[in-house]
Amino acid sequence: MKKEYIVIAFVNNQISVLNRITSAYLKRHINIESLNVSESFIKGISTVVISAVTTADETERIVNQLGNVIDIHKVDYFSQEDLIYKEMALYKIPSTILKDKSQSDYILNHSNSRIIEMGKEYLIVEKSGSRIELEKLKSKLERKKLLAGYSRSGNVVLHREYLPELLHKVS
Amino acid sequence: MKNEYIKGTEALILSLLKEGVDTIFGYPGGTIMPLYDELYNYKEKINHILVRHEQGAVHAAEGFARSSGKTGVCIATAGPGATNLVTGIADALIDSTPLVCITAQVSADKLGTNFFQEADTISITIPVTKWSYQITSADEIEEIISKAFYIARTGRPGPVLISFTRNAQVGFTNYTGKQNSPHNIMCFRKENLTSSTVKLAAELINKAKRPLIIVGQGVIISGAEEETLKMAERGNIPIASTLMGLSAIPTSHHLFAGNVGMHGNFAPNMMTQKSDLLIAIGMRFSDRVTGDISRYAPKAKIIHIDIDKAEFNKTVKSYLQIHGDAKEVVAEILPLICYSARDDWFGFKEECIKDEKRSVIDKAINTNNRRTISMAKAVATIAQESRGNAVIVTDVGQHQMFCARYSIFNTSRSMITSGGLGTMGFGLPAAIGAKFGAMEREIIAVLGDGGFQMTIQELGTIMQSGIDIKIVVLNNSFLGMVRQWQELFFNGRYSSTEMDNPDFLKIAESYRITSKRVENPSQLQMAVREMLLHKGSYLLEIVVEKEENVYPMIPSGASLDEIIYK
Repeated sequence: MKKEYIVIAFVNNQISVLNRITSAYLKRHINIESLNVSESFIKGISTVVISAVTTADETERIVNQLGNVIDIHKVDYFSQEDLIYKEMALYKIPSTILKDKSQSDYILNHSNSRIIEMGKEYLIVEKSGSRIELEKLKSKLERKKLLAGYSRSGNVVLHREYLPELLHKVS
Repeated sequence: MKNEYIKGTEALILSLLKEGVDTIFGYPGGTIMPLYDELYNYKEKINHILVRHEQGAVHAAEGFARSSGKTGVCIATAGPGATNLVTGIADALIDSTPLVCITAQVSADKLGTNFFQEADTISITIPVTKWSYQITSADEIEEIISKAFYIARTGRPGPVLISFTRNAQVGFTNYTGKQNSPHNIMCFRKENLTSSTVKLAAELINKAKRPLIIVGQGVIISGAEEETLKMAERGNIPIASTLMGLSAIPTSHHLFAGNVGMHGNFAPNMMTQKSDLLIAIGMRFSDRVTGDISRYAPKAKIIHIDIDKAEFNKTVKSYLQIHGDAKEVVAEILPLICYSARDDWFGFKEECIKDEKRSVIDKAINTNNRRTISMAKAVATIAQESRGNAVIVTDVGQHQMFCARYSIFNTSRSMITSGGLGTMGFGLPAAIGAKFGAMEREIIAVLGDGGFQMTIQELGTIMQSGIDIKIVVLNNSFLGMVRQWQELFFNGRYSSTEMDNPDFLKIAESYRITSKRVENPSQLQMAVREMLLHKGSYLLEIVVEKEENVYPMIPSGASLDEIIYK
């Protein structure tokens, strides 16, 4: 059954590792839904988080292939339920919204977002959450023709459990 | 221990020498010229074989690696030189061949400017290399070359590409010459083989009534031939081979059942379907071996022994996976194996062998009332006359399958072929490389007329290097395998498969290679004998039946039971 699987890889911070990782998806014609690369808790080691909609078998084959990539220290895959899993989005909204309380109330008080910049013409609103939550706000703003710009990050994740084996292997 | 500033090019050559490199296949060009200039100083220590096309260099390096067990090295210039290597690199990846390919690159400060002969070699080769690295400073050379060789040969071997920028070639570095410290690479860390796993494997083998060992190239790579044969003998277990595993086990051994797969022998394919235990060693269950996976080995539990974890359960699900080097794993299991007579099982094997002999082999080889030579007969004659002692290097197509079916192998590393990628044009340059990797051995390149013409220019390499290899061109004036499929599956519509060929003898003559053409079956044996007795390279063109098919055959996607005899 196809669903969203999140692959997390701890890699050397080296040129071309990311290409090797994405190449494993490309060769199987699988679209990457979200991708995030950031420094891990160990210096020189980056964390790559990729989510894609595919099957468990296919994800396992990808992970097995990635396990052979020289600059990857550890790679595994997870379901969304296994992880604390957040993305961040920025929304550009016309400043005129502030004049209309019925419009601005949801944004300001009920969407768990915050205004990070207030310009003459536009507000920039930031929200973190699951992709569904972020997309929900986006859709709402679009319906009201209030969305002038939108940008969403890749995933930042942490496993719910303590994973001593993972930490040991990476360090 | 040295401690001096030298040019990057010299540091590279000294690093290669440190790795034991004595032969390189390559082709010079603009950006790689500083390295070639340095090679001139080291021509006593490194034998550079000038090929006629970079594809020839990489296939020759593959042939060298496969015949010698060492890492093959090839060099090409930037841009087109590098892109011409790509096919061979992909071939080496899928067939687990250790290569270090060194390509030039424009100076680091010119990268990304579409400089003359600039191509993004690293990006182009990422999907087909085990590892790649762009050296942009001479100071990196010593460490990176050591790492490149370590990666190429360790674990499941494969190709490594080093892109060598011009500034790194001409820059200076403090070369130490010291042995590099071991590289700590996570995916090469060994897992301990547990005694419970070994016991379970032995238990499964000892309990099995119809076990079958299938050896892949992993057995050759790890040098596990002796242990595998001992295990088979100790347990009285028949052995089959994949195409890539051929020659690991002597074909004359009483336990050897033949090769599995699409054009494999009847016995091992049928035995796979009847077996209650497959012991797969260093093989990857390719689609050419399994046919329809859902109907593959329906009664068998599978023990899968492989150095590459990624191969476990990739296509065929196995009961027990043992991750490790084949030689080490089999050596652990071996003492626990008990003898079992398995009379019925061997009876079935013999019955299948007789069946195939009667229905396929006799017909293919029988020369009575034939005006033309069959490919099967040609290959069988070469095998008979060389007494199974030659290294057979094939190209890709019908002749390749005939070689797999009718060759005799006495020793390991005697079958060199492009298995996974099926690269036409592989044969001739791979044979050249194989000769340099095993100078003491007789090398026979068996080629089709199609594949021969894909890298025919490498006759020039043979001429210039003065090596002794025998080239047999099985000429049916067709792209035979494609034609066979067109006949069987495309209503006989021969779309673009008939070949109008040149006079191969004149071509050989122009390259100063002695040659002969044989068309009559009665002259075949003498012609092969004459070729083998000839001192120096020789081209024998055997004009074979135009529309001979390779049988038996399991159509693509069919089950191993659905074998076609004719």
